[in-house]
Amino acid sequence: MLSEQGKRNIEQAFQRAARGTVVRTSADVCDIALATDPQPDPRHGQLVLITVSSFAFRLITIFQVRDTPEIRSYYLADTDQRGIDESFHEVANLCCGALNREFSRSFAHLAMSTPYTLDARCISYLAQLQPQLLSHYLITINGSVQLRATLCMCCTAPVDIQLNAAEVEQTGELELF
Amino acid sequence: MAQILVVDDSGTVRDEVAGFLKSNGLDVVTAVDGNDGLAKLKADPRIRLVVTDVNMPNMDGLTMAEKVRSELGNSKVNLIMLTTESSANMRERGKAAGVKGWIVKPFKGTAVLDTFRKLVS
Repeated sequence: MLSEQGKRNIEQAFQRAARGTVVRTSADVCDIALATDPQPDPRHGQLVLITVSSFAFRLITIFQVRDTPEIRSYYLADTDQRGIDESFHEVANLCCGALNREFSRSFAHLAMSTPYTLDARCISYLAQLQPQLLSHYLITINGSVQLRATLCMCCTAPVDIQLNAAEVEQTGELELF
Repeated sequence: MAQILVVDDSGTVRDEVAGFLKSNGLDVVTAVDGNDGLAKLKADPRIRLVVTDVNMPNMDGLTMAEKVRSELGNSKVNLIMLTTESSANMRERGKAAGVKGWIVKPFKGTAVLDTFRKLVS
């Protein structure tokens, strides 16, 4: 239901979306690599999830965010008392929003969930969903801030995702009707 | 003084948008979802501009926009969507509900400040 080219397109779309959204400023260096270990460490941290769904598929994008000093100082102000998972919800929302817009070129009817948090141990059960795509990534920002991300996609019909690499997306501008 | 209502389930976005607008001299109140937004709008006639997310729990921003017109009968308040969504279907639904404009997140305050000032004046 999901071709190898389709998988590559989805992975490429995710990496492009993540590079533009998980960093605080465009000057920050974001390196995204396939994780060599098959699963994130389920003993630590929490998972921030967002689901993009259509009639043909359900894609769960999962970020594993640990409350380390490096991550806290990168994403939160010194005086911010919120948990890192709560503040990371909007980062995940921006990333999956960009992915959702990319997918909307290929699918007319898409819906995106609001972000939600699960215990990191839940990551061990993704295989039970029998996904057609299960990819793990290690995201490193400025050489020191590290997050993990997972794409888990289940299809109920043939899925073909087209990418438009040439198009540069405009965000933040007010379009008046 | 006219007020701006910022509706978003993300505290990060509420703080960012409201903080920017307040630091530029605008009067801002916030709400956490569409239900809360409608209640604030009912309670405060000074609100002239609503800046709202789409995807929120309890009541989404487009449903809230429709209810502003149909249930509150408020045709004067300006509605702006601030969202990661940009599908044609949603924009058309927004237009039909009387939404005035659409911003794809992230929020860039300097790009919209002048227009926001005009919409509340």
